[in-house]
Amino acid sequence: MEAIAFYVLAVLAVASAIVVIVHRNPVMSALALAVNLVTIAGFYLVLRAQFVALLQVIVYAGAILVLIVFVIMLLNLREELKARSPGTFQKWLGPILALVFAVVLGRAMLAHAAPSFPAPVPGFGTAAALGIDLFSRFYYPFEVVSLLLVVAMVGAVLLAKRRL
Amino acid sequence: MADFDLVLVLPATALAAFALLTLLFAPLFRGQGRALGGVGLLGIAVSAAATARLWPAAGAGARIATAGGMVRVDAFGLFFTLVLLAIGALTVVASFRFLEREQADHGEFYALVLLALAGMVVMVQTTHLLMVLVGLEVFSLALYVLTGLTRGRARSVESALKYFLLGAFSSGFFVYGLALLYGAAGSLDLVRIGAAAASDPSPMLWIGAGLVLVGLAFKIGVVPFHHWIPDVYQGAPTNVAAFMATATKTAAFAVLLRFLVGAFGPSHEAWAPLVTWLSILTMTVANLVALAQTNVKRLLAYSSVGHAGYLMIALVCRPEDGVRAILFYLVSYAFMTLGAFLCAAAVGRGDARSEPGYDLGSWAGLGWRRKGLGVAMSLFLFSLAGIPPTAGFLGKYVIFQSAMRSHEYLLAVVGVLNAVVAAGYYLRVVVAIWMREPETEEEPYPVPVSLAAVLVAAAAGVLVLGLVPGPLLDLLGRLAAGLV
Repeated sequence: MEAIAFYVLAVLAVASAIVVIVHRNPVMSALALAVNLVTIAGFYLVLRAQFVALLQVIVYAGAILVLIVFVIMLLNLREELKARSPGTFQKWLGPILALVFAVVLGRAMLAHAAPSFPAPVPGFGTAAALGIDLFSRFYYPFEVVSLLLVVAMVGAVLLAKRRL
Repeated sequence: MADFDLVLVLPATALAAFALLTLLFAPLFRGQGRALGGVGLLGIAVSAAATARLWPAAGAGARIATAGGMVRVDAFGLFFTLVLLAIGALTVVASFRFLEREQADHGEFYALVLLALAGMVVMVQTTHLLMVLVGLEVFSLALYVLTGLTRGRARSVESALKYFLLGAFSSGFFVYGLALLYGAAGSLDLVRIGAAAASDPSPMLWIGAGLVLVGLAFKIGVVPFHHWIPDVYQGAPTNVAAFMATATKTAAFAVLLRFLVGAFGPSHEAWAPLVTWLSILTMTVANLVALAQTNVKRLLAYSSVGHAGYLMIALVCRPEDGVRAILFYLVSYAFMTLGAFLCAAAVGRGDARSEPGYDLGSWAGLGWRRKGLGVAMSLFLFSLAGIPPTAGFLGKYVIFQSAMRSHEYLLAVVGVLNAVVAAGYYLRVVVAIWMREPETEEEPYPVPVSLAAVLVAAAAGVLVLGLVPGPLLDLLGRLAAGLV
């Protein structure tokens, strides 16, 4: 059951990710990104991380995607639609190399027995378990991430404010 | 939080706290960036004092873990912290007048430099790859912003965007690698990863390690992941380029040492051929391309890529020689590259569209009009070229010596040949400074006192390390023991 869910989600995730980068209409790319983000939430569910799956839908598929669509709406799209990327050899080389890499990766993984993972403890994936982990084992990286947000805020103001 | 000890994490937290103080004071000191720079400098001093306080215990060989195993206080990490703080302090002082001249005198600059330093300190004082990732992201994001600081210049904005896109892409590689490593080893701690590599190396572990290497190679600027470096160093404000070229490379090499020589040390023969060829490729490509450069910033950018190649030679060598060589080279590299970029900052003239002041032509005859600057730049270039009695000569000597001792003759020969090629383009700048007639009537900028002080300090560093390297080399020899 889990395996079927995984493979369906995997096909959807890869297909939607390809649409995001190849489609010329940014609105379509944004919608494909929404599909992609939801399938990733699906992966989290398969892994029994239900709280993270919920956050993924609310924050990424919800809030951030709305923001992206708003930005696309505010920008002038006509120019973007007209712009054609030049047909360089990189356009063909990139996908081919990616495919080769995927095959090598897949073969290497399949050739070797998968490492055994510990069974999830009871209560795994709930908001309570995540919160306890975050504030007991991982409190220090959690605090340092707040510096990342400070940098992002200061940087956004510094780069975008009309008059400083 | 039973194991949390503020004293042990003070080097990073002091930097973050003073960065926030700088932001708090920023509205009070509009248009007086130097005052905020003073606050930043104070933060660096406090952090350095906190680091020095930890030194006696760690210097005796203690390795203290704190914050749930996320922070590791050892002599190796503290040494890197001090080097990074020195680079940060020199950058801050050099930026006082430079930012005023560039009309980018925002107090936020000093806050971002301090936050970037905090991220780097977090990154070097840990053996946990999760902390490495968080520190890497903090300093990378700060550097993306600093690159675009001179918003009025098209090149600055362009290079910030390029850096951001490629940097985000390389972080993707790094995170993917972490995911695979976690799957293979069940932990992101380098001690556990090293144990898994020694006992049960699965393909997943190797692929994960390879992806992490790609992420680090991007930050260091190893060929073929170097394409962003010339564009970004050329576009960024020159003081930021100086900081990036030295601090980023130093911090990333600390992680690379812990990762490759520390955790994956026992499986040396598996990765040594790869690093050998990357090193040869990096040196050769960078030095050949640098020969064709006429823009001083671009030339120094390619030179920094080339130096990454020399450093990688010692990565392959026996750890007891190689680690010491890398640490010594990084310190001398920091002084000479910082000095060379800041000399360029003192000369560079430009406007929104172009920056003719960084073309080799406008350096013609500079030595006779600004003697001190000419002498300083020549000294840094001599050191970069590896001419005695400078630190650069000794750095290269120690690296090639460790290559010979480890029987890496191919690397030693290619390295020496590259040093000869590199001398060609460094000396071209020296020739322009002293032996060519000035092309413009325009009087060069006067060198502000703060910048001159930094140049003197860097020049003193280059000379002292070149003339009396013994004490530092002795100290560094003892650091190689405790990588993970």
